[in-house]
Amino acid sequence: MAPKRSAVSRESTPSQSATQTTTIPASTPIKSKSANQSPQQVALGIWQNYLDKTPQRTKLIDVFMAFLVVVGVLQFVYCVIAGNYPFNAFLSGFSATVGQFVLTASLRIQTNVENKAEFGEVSQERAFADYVFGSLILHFFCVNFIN
Amino acid sequence: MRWILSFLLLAFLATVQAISSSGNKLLVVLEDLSEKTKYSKYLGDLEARGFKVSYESPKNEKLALFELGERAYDHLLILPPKSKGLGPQLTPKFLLDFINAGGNILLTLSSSHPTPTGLVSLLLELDIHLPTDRTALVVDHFNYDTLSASDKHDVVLVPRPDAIRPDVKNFFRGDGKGGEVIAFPRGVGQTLGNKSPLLTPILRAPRTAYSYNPKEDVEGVEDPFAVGPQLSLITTMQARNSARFTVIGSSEMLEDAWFGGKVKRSVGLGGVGIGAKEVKTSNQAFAQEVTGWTFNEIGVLKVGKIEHHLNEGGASSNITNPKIYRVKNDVTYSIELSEYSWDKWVPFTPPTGDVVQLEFSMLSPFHRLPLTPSTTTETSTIYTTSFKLPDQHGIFNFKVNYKRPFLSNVEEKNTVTVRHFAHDEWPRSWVITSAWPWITGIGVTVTGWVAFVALWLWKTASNAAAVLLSGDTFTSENLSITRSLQSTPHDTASPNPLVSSDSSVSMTSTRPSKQRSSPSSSQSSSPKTSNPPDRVEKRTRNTLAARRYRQRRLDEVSGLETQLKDTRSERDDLKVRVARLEGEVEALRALLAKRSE
Repeated sequence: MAPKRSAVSRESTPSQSATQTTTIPASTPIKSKSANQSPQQVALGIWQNYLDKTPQRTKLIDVFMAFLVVVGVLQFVYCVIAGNYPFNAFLSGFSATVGQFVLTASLRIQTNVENKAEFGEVSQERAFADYVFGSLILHFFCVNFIN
Repeated sequence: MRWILSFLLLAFLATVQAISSSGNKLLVVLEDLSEKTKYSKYLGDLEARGFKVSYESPKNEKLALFELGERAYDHLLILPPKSKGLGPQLTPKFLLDFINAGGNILLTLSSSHPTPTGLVSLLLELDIHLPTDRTALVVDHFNYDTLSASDKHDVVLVPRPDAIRPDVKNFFRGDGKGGEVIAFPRGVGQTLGNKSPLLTPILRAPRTAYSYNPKEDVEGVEDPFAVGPQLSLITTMQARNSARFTVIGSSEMLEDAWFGGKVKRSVGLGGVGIGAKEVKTSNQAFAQEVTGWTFNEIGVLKVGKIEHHLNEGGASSNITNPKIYRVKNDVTYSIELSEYSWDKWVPFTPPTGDVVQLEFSMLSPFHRLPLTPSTTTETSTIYTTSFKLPDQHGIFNFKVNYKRPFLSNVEEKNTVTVRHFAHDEWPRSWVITSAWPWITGIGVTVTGWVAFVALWLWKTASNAAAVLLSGDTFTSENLSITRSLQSTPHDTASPNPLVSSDSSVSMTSTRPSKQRSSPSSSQSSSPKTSNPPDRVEKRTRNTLAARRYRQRRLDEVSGLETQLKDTRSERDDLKVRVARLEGEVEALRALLAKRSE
């Protein structure tokens, strides 16, 4: 399974780089060679790059992490506005989100194709199992702590 | 037989002890027994109230306040001796020991006999000071008895005393009608140090009284010992163990002559008492009150049952006096108080303006609450209060500390442990409304996580299926594609699929080829026109090349595998053959050996 996937990824990289080099000049026909692009264009380029280059799986992780950030910010804002009366409730609610974010971030690091060199000995399945185990412990702790 | 005796003894003791709340053995120290007749009414009253009076001279060798380390008497009455000392058994130390052991002392002084130095130092010990002139007496030129002391003015007439404070019980006011008069003949006034909280005067001298030594032949007094209400005529001291000590400045006021004798007051300040009539003194009743108080017949408090219990949500618990409570528990405390009044216990009621208080304290009180009377029995009042324990865990005391002048001390401590909330005693999170947003936060996080995990797993499963599926279709498709690619002459381009477009460009620059050079040049000159078809073509070529590469590898592997299988089977065959041959060799050798034999 593993060698096959690596072959796929190796195969996909050059093609993507090829598309990248070609798309950016296409969007900026006049200043294609010049270095000074407008920030908007740079951002757009990065976004396009992200869309093209990132595997589907990493994109899924990113969506989930963005969702967690939104939930965490909402909880924190509520605490600032309405006060932290059952403080343990705030702690457990907020730490559930933050902890989930941290765990998901580490899953993203471990499963990212780019980091194959560092985490070669950790298989994707192993990383995901660790992630599920850690998350379950976190959820148990938070539900227990909020009483 | 014996038990009947002991029962009788008990019954006897019970009847006798109904007199004073603390025993009835009274010792009267009297130097000259013939003087007994002077006090016959007073002593008769005492005996009538049930005291077992024994008379001893201070000179008696056998006199002892203690017997085998125990108090031999419950009460002690010292009438003024004529001699200068009280003997070896009534030293200040023994008298103080007697007080410490709970005995009560009534001490009388007289100006006609100088007070023995032993008693003076005992009084000094208690912060009661006597005039330095041993023969000084209290004189008042405005409140004297015109019948007996019209010349010397040394029989002071004093009205019944008021309470020292409005919130203190007054045991010495008689029937409270007023107009009663107490004769204080030739007495010694005392001054009190103001440091001791245990001292309380019962009777103070009138405003115009002063201390005067008649033996000095000086006309007028230049520097009197004390004047007016500074002079205490009757002083009490209640020790911390509630033992009582009273000093009466004039022993003469207890004599028969003044019990019911007639007096007529002089004209006082501002013409008070003009045309006063002869009245009977109220010395007898007053002496009874003072003596009764000293010998624990009045003003004695007793604590009965003390109860505290849990009172959560208005339902009181059946367990009384538990050792442990939790913080913020609702608790009810009750204490039963009785007061002794001459011969019986009666319900205790504090004077108006005073309350019994309960402290709930750890080092310092966290609560100090008034106790209110809830029920009254025949002999006692039950005071109770309910409160919420403080939000502080530790070792606490229920403490009733009721110390008032003329009442015996009440100091009751009940120690309890106050623990904090157990893990399952906190309110659940959903009960608290303001915790709901964070509960929702956890819920949303967990739901999101579950969805994420489900998506991930589904994706992994579908990916694996796709890989398997593509592997199957690929092999069948592959052949046709390669065949078609081989047939087209256009395919001569990039034989290596891994070579990027850049390197292909560089290759074209280095290698002069007719077919390749022309498109590359056109690409550099006008990239936007030639790019899209070129890109599509390149990608198709790339994918095809990749497929071919993958297929070749697969073929290689399968070829190797078949080779391996063949070699293995060949090896196994050879092994079998070797075994057979070896068997044959063995058999032949055996045959040969037999033959040679």
